[in-house]
Amino acid sequence: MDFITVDFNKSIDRSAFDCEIHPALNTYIAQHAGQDEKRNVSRTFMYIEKGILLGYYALANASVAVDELNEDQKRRMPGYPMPAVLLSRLAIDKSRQGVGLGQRLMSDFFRRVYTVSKQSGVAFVVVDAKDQRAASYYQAKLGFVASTNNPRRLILSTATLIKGFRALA
Amino acid sequence: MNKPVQPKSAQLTADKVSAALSDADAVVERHASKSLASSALSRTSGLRTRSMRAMHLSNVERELAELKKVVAALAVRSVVHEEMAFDLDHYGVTVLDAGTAHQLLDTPPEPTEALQKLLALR
Repeated sequence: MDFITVDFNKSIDRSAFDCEIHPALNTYIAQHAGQDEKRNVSRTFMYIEKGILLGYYALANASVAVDELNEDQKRRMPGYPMPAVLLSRLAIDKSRQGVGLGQRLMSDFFRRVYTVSKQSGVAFVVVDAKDQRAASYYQAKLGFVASTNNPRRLILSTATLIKGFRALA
Repeated sequence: MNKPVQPKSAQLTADKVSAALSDADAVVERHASKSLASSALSRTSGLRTRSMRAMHLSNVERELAELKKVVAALAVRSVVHEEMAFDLDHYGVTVLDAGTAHQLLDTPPEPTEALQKLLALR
């Protein structure tokens, strides 16, 4: 598994990062990502060229609970929340938007999930779409489905991901 | 990903909500137990059915008051459960429709063409 990103590195200048669209994503990488790393709350991976941060994403473990199982489903499915990996943030610097870096970071994220899924149970991949445009992309193009409690929290079966990677092998 | 620290006032509210839910649960459970007991009694008592007994007005009033309490308790439970669902959302628990979850786990869809292309990117 060759990743294009590197582990969060606090020595990299993050204050200049600007994704232009969502200021919260700039604030996160500049001010909060380090704390989340230190507290093991989430992991951030950076895409860096010539020492400049051009993109990042953050992931964490999450749970997916199911609502109102019927009798048949109770026999067939776990009655407890199931493990997932959450892509909580993904941002590209404005200087590199529109050249496919976002897709490469998504691919990098999926490879990490695939790697994790070999060592620990991951039933689902969960993403938080920042806006409706992103949500539509995840659903219409990548096959994610919307969660019940939040239309912008989207879910993909890890099994689908594994099928995809096996097809590449 | 920072989990918000619950302020003291929020904790107090949470405690009050929890107490209200506990009270409401007790009322509903008491009524449910009583209803079950009386239906079991009516099943075993043969001809001694409830309809055959002339209910005294005070009994009717007492039952009506009890039912009002149950309705109020159910309303409290409904509101609290909605609040809890919001909290679950707020703290990041994802809820998925059971039918969809079952399908995703047991008969996962093939990757879309776009996903397959994405996975091949380096």
